[in-house]
Amino acid sequence: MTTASDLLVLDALHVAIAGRTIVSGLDLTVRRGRITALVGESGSGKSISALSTIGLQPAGAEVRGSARLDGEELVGLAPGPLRQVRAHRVGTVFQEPGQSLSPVMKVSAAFRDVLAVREDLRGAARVRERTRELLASVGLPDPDRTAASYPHELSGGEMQRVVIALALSGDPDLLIADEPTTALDVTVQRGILELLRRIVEERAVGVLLITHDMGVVGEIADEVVVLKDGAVVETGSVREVLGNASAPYTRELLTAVPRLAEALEHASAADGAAEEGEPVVRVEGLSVEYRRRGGAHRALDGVGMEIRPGQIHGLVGESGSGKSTWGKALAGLVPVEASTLELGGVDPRTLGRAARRAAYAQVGMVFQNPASSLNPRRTVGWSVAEPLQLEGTTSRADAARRVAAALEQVRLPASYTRRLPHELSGGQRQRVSIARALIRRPSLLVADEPTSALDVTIQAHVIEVLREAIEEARFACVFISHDLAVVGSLADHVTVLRAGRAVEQGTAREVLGSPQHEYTRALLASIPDPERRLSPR
Amino acid sequence: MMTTSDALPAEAAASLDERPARRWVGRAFLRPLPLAAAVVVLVSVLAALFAPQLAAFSGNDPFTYHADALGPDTAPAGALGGVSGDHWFGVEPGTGRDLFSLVVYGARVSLLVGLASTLLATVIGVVLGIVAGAVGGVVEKLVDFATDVTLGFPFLIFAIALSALFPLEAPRALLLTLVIGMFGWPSIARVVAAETRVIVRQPYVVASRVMGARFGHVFRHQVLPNVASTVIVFSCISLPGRIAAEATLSFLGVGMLPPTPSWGRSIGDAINWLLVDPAFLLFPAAALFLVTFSFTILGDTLRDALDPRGGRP
Repeated sequence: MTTASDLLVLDALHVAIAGRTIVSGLDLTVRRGRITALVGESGSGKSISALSTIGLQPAGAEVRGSARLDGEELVGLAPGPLRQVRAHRVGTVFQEPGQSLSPVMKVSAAFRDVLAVREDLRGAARVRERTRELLASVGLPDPDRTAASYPHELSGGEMQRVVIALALSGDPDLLIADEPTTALDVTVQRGILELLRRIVEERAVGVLLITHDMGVVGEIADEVVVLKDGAVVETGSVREVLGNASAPYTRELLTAVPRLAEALEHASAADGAAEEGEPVVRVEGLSVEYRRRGGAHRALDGVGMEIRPGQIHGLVGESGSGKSTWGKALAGLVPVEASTLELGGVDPRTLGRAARRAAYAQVGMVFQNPASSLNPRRTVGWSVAEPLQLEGTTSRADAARRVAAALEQVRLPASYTRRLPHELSGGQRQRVSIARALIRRPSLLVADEPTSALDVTIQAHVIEVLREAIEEARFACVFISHDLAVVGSLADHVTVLRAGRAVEQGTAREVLGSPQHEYTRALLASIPDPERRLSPR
Repeated sequence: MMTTSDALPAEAAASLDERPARRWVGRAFLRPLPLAAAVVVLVSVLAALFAPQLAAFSGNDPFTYHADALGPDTAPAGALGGVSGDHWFGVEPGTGRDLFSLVVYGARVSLLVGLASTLLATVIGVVLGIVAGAVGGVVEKLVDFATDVTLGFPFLIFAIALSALFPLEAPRALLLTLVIGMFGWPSIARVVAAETRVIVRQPYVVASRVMGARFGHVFRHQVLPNVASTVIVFSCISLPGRIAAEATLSFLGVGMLPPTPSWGRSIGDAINWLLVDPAFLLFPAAALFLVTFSFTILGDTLRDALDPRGGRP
C-alpha cells in the first residue's frame, strides 16, 4: 500500500490529554507534490494531530500510533533527532501571520536565525542572498524592502508570504499549513492559495493543509480527510468527497458553506420586497476622520444609505475599508460629519445629551468576537437584561419574563440565564448577544461580522436566527461582513466599500448578480468555492 | 420553513445538560503550605483579637516590670532570655517585661496598621485607577502625574518628618495607617488603570455604552467585577509589605511610641542586646517573619486559584 511517493503516513494516531481522548485513530497520507487537507470544525483535533506528528504536542499529552515521515517513525522519537527532523525536513505555517513573526525583529533578522539552524548558513552576504531568493520565490516583488521591514510595516498577506518563505528554508519535504489563510481577506487568500499550489508543483513537497473551510479545500486540495470530534468521518480524493460525500457530516459541512449562487437566488426573491414604511436610517455624505498624532486618517468618505423597517443592508469590504466604522457611526460611537444623519426621522446631533443617549439606545449591536461580547463575570440573564436595567422602567419580574422571551427568540432555553459566558459555546454566546441586542425591540440592529469567528455549520444557524428575528420584529439591520456570500444570502441592499468609499451600492441582486465595478468583480471571483474544480471546464 | 428541531443544531443538543460545575476557589488552599500559612494567619489574628486574655492566661501583661526576672547586669536571668513557666518567651532585657505579652500585643498593631493601610491604599488606587482608565484624556494624565509624584516621593524621609510634626498625644496607629496607605495606592492604581483600559475597549462595554450606560453603570457592573480578582490578589500580596513598613518605622523609632508594644520596636531594642541576649531578637522577629511570609503565600495561592487558566495543575 505504501508507495515511494508517500511522504507522511499517519497510522491510527491517537492523542489523549489528561486521560481525555482528543484524536482517536487518525489515518492520513501526504504524498509528494500533493496537498492533503485535514478538515474539521474547531475542537475536532485537527491542529493537535499535526503538532503531535512533529512532536510539538502540549505537555502532558500522550501520543500513540504511528507517524512515518519517509519511512522514519516520528512517534516516540527522542527529542534530539525529532528536532533535526523539524529543522531540516518540515516547515510550518500558522494561522495568524502577525503572531508568527516577532514584532521586535526585522524580517532579515528572522531569516538570519532560521537559516543558521535550517541551512547551517553563516555569513552576512550569503544569508542576504538566500533571503532574497526565498522572498522572491514566494512572490514578494521587492525582497530587499521586505527583508528590511519590521512585521508591523507589512500587510497581512505579505507577512504570511514571509512566514511561508521561512517555512521553505532548508528545502523541507513536508509543509504543515495550519489555517494559513483564515485570518486574511479573500483577495489576499486567493494569492496565498495560488502560491501554495505553485510551491507544491515546483518543489515536489507534500503539504498537510489544516482548514475548516470547504471552499479552500475545493480550491487547492488533492486529498481530503474529514475529522469530527477526533475521529475520521470521511477520507478520499477531493473529487469523491466534495462531489459525492457519503458521510452525513461532510454533507452538512458542504451545505453550510454560504454560496453565491444560492445567495443570488435569495436576493432575486427578496428583490420584490416592498419598499414600505418611513426609513429607519437615512444617512448622506457621512465622513469619519480619526485624528492621530501627526495627521488624520479618513476612515469613511462621503457615504450614504437608507434602510426601511425589515430591510437588511449589507456592508462588504476588506479589512480597513471602513465598514466597522460605519456601524460605529450609526451607534454614535465615533464623531461624524454628515450632511444628513437621521435615526427614525430625527437627527441625534440636534438633540440634548439625554435625548441623544435615548436615540442611540434604539440601536442594538452584535459584535464579531463571541469571547468578548459578553461580560465574563456576569450571568447570561444579567447580560440580556442589561438594556432593560439601563432603561430603568421595567420591573424585575417583567424583565425576567422578557429575558426568557428574548432567549427563546434566539432558540436558547430559559435555563441558560444562570450560566456564565465561558460555559457556553461560541455560537451560543453569539445568540445571547443577539438576544441582548433585541430585547428592547431596537429599530436598528448593527451586526458587525457576527458570524465570522464561528464554524460554518454554526454560522448557518446564527444567520437563520437573525433572519427569523428580522422577519418577526421588522427592524432594520446593518449587516457588516467581509464575506460576500454571507451578505448575499441575507441582505436586501449591499454596499461594497473600499478604503472608506462606496464603490458600488444597490440591491443585492444588482450588486452581486451584475457587478459594475471592477473591485466588486474581483471580490466575487475570490470567494473560494468547493465546486470550482469539480465542474467541467 | 425549518421546524424548530431541525433548526437546533448539534451545538444545542448539549444545551439541556446540567450547567458544568464551577470550580471551588477554596480548593487551592487545601495543600500543605497554604494550609499552614492560613493557620499562622488565623493564629495571629486570634492573638491580636484576644491579646489581653492570652496575656492574662500566661499570668502577665506587657506593661509590668519584673525586676526579679533580671540578672545583675539587667540581662534576663536564665537560659534563652529567661524562658520559664512564668515567662513563656522570656523577658525584655533592661525592664523585665514579659516578652510573650509583648509579642501578642504587637500583633494588634501590626495587623491593624497593615490591614487598614492596605484597605485605604486599595480604595484610593481602585477608584483612581478605574477613573483614569475609563475616562482617559486629561483625567488620566492627572492621575498618571499624581502617581509619578507619589512614587517619586522619598517615603521614609517623609514619614519620619511627618511623625516629628505629628502631636505625641494623637493616635499613632492612625498616623501610620494614613502615611502607609497614602503612599501605597500608586502601584495598585497603575495595575487597575491598565486593566481598565483593556476592559473598556471590550465589545461588551461598548454595547453597554450604545445602550445608554453612564459611567456609574460601567464602573459598577462592567469594570469593577472584572478587575476584582486582580485587586484582591494585589492587595493580599502587598499586605505583608505594609506590615513590614509599620515594623520598619517602629524600628527606626518613628512608629509606635512606647509603651505600646510593637514588633518593629522590639526588634529595634533587641539589636542593642544582640550579643548579650539573642533570644530577645528571636521571638518578635520570628513573629514578624511568619506573619508576612504566610500572607505572601496566601496571596500567591489566591492568585493561582483565581487565575482562570487554572494555575498549577
